Amino acid sequence: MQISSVLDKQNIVFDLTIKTKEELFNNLALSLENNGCITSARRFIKDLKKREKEASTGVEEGFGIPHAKSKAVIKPTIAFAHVDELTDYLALDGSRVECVFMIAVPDQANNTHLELLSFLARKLMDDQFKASIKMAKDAEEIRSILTSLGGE
Amino acid sequence: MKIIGVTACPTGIAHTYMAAEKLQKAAEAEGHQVKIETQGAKTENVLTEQEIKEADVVILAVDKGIDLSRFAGKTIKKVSTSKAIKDPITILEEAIRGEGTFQSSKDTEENSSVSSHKKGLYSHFMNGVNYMLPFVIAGGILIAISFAFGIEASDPDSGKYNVIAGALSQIGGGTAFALMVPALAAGIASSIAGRAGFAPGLIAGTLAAAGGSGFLGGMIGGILAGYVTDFTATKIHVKQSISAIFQLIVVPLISITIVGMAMVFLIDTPISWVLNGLTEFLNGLGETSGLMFGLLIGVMMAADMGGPINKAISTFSIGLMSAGVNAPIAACMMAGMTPPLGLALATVIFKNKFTLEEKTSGKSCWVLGASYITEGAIPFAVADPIRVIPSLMVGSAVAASISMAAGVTSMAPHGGVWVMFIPNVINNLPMYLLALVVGTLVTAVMIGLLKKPIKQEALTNTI
Repeated sequence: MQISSVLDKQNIVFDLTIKTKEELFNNLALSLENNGCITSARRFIKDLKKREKEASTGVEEGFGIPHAKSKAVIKPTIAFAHVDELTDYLALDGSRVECVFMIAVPDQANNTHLELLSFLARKLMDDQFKASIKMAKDAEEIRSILTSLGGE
Repeated sequence: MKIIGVTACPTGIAHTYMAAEKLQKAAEAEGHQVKIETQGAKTENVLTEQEIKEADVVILAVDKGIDLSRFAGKTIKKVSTSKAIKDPITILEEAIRGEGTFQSSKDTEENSSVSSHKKGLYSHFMNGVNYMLPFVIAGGILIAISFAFGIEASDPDSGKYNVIAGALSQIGGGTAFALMVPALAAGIASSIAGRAGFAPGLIAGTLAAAGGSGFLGGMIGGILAGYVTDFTATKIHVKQSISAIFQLIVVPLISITIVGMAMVFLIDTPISWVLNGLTEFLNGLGETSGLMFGLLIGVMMAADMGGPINKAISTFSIGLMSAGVNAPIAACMMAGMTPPLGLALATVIFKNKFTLEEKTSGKSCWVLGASYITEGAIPFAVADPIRVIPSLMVGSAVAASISMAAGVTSMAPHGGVWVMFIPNVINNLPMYLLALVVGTLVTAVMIGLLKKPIKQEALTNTI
């Protein structure tokens, strides 16, 4: 199974007008809702925020990985966004988050999917991977970087 | 060096793996042998006993409590997952140098600061209840049996005195029941402070029983005893040389004095007012308000069939027995019996709505229900919660409210139908039996109405 199979082109967003975490979550969740990956953006955002409250999901070098297990999720999905540097969403190294992989997992997910997601989480620790994602200019490039990773 | 580790985060999707990856890479870069177990949505890369035994360093990057018993005797470095992601190299170096590490002893269950305080109080209470239950169950049934000899048979001054009845009553009522509150308090205190909490807890509970603050006082006393002892034993630092004598003499002396004084002067009086008020209120419940309380008991008893909600109300009712209020426990027992009995009946009446497996377990439900083991209903509730649980709640609520409204009291806290027929245990047996029959029928009918017929293929598949 390919990691790119859970990241639909329609769920890739490049939008520099997004300037807050709130806007980012709304934007991506709406996109997921419109594309039939989740039943309710509102409920999914609520679950995202619940996870965010436990500890920020900012990682390093401007990357964030907001994620939630939620009843509102229909199928395991990844959404991607490259936005303006967010002042209210900081990574562990203090940098402002600008690239996020948002992970939506249903309450009961099968193992194949979970392995894919953990594979992405591991990949996010790779500097080269992060650099190439940051440089990507459009949805096609993001998809092709992920496709080149293959799967597990 | 051989390095092992475990990573875990609450959701088990991202940070578990990111932390594992970072630690792995950092360790490999330094030329160490490394293996990291990821306790994510599922646990992967599991560490074997052999690997744990051979490891030089154990690193835990966890944001939730994990079982530490496997790492008994190991030197452990514990950090959050974010720390491991941010600064794996420092953590690795500190772990190797033994900075900020601790030794895991044989019986340390993980008590991470995050989780232990959240679920703490409830689990302490449940521990207390588990200490108390044997006293209540055995004591209550022995008292019930002694009544079988006649209501005055245990009274030496009575003409109908019977030696066996007297002995049973002395064992059950005079001793087991008298130790109920002390056992509760000692159980709570030991759960908090370990063995050192037992004595102060026992004393707090005995004072509560004697001072009239009953089980409420026992609960408060138990908590107080636990935390006071824990504080004295662990937070006050003394020289190594007198540490042993400190633990042996000073800790119990101080904690028992503080707890005892608090019970006598601060807690007993106000709490006994509360308890008396509660007792009077419950004993004075008229038919209407009894009905309402019965409904509540029924709904709670059937809500989770032996889980926390069920235990909350049944424990409360058992506690009230120590104050001489015996109607709620009768209603509880009733409401705990109807779920399995109603299901058993439903499997007989509505054959097309249950699988073959369910019909078989329906048979055992007769026995379980009659014995007041509500858990018998769980398999049915799990299979179809949305239809089954409300049905059970309605049936139990009806049964419990009939019992409460009729003012039925029970001298036995457990035992189901097997104690009901012992003379003098139930003050109004006809009404109690009526409640049982009606509750069972209502449960069965509700289930019959709500449950959908099983498809034929499903029926055969389960054989």
